[in-house]
Amino acid sequence: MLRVEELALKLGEVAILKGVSFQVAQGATVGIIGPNGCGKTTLFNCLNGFHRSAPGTIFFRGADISASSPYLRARSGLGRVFQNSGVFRSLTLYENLLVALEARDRVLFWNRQKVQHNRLIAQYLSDFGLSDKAHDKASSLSGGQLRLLEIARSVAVGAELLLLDEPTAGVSPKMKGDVERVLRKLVELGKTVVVIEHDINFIQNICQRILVMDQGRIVLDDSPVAIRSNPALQDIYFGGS
Amino acid sequence: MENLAILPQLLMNALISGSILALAAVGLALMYGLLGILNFAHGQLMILGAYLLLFLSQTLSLPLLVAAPLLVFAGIFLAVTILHLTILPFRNRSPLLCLLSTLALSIVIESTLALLFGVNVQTLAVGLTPAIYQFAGVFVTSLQLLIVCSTLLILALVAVIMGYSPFGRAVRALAAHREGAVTLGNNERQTVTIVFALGTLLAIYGGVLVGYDQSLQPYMGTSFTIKAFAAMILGGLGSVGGAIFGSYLLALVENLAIGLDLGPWSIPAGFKDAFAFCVILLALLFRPEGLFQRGQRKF
Repeated sequence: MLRVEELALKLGEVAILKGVSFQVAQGATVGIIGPNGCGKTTLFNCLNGFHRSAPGTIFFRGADISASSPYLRARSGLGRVFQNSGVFRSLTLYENLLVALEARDRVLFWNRQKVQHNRLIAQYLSDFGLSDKAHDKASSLSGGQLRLLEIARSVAVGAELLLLDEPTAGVSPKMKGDVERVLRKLVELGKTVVVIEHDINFIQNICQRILVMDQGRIVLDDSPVAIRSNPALQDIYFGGS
Repeated sequence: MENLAILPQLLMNALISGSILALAAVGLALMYGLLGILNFAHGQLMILGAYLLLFLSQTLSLPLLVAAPLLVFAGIFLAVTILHLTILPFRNRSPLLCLLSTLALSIVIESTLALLFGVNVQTLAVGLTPAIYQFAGVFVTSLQLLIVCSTLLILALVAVIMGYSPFGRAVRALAAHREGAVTLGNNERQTVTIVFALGTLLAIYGGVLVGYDQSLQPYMGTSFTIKAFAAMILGGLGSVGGAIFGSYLLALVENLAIGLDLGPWSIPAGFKDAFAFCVILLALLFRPEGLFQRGQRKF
């Protein structure tokens, strides 16, 4: 599904990513952890096309997307949930999802599929527990509800691989459970999920594999149990002895 | 008593001048709301459009039915060129660079118009004798009625498009969160180009109305730019509804200020613009986000 080869990125004179390589199979759930500033979000920004990495190659569904514009990568099925929420707060929940469906179906001036779209929106809002807020502005939602809306929007637009950047940051324990349930549902639907997280327990529960990043490199790539018991993880987060 | 008698006429005058200003201010608000760019050449684009129509209809003697569509194509071409040469290259680097580049563009447009058309006052209404109507003590020409009605229709159309069409939703989404919209497949460059072209066409139509209702002179664009900014600031930066409200309010204040006889406190006509801006400053002192906004930029 996703293959990244020797991805490197410099911002000014500072090397942020240094030769990052990994693969993600279709239907897999992969977690990315690492200390603050190690390049996790920057990696996602490169995958989405907001930073043009050089050198390095990104293959998505077999195609080289390294030179593609961000919107073309999105149209090919690469979705994103942002760390600080990419929800359109001045639009209603209904409008947020409608924008996604209209983008998926390339509707620009006249929506002939309004009836089908309305039905899908009602279904998504029900699945994500947001039905009672359909016509409220997204700015009225809590942090956890914003996350759920953003994930629902990525599903609505037809993303096959979802890049989730700290989906449980600032979220209540109860809502964390909701987010976890939603992610499991996505996996059941055959979606591929790559998630950045700081909550090791959360990521251990839902991921089949964990990549550990440090100073712009992937330093560990293993199962959650193996990663957790690896003494190198302690050194990465707290410094070597 | 005399003031009461002329009040309806002043209100009509405000409606007319406010309509033209609203076309400019809405165009500016669309660009600012989406791009975060203040286009200092906006007033000059208005006047450029009017001079283009002057050239097509008077110099080339083309009938209006032929000249108007040509003007629309020319306006779209100008918009795309200006956007890609003077705004997009600087947009991500510095808003100040964008301001400076559009300021430079405004001077280039004015100088070119002066060179090509001369500095004498001209008008689009050559040979036209509009009918004059009177009702309830108010005099208005058929042309002025057309200005008001056509502007209200256009503004209503813009409101419907921005509020209820898929394109309008995509534009509002892009303005709300650029990366969020792009990761849904929004072609940002295409959306921005369409919005900029729409804003430019609104400005050009406003300039054409000025050319018919008043007169044309190459250096009058700056006044419209400043007033359009003022209307947009008064209503709330980036708000289309606020820009419309600000335009009519500014026109009302201007016309009342110079039209009413306040004895020794009467405002001289030459102080019209300054008085209006004083009122804006006062309004912003008490409500800096604009009269229409709730403390944050809305599209």
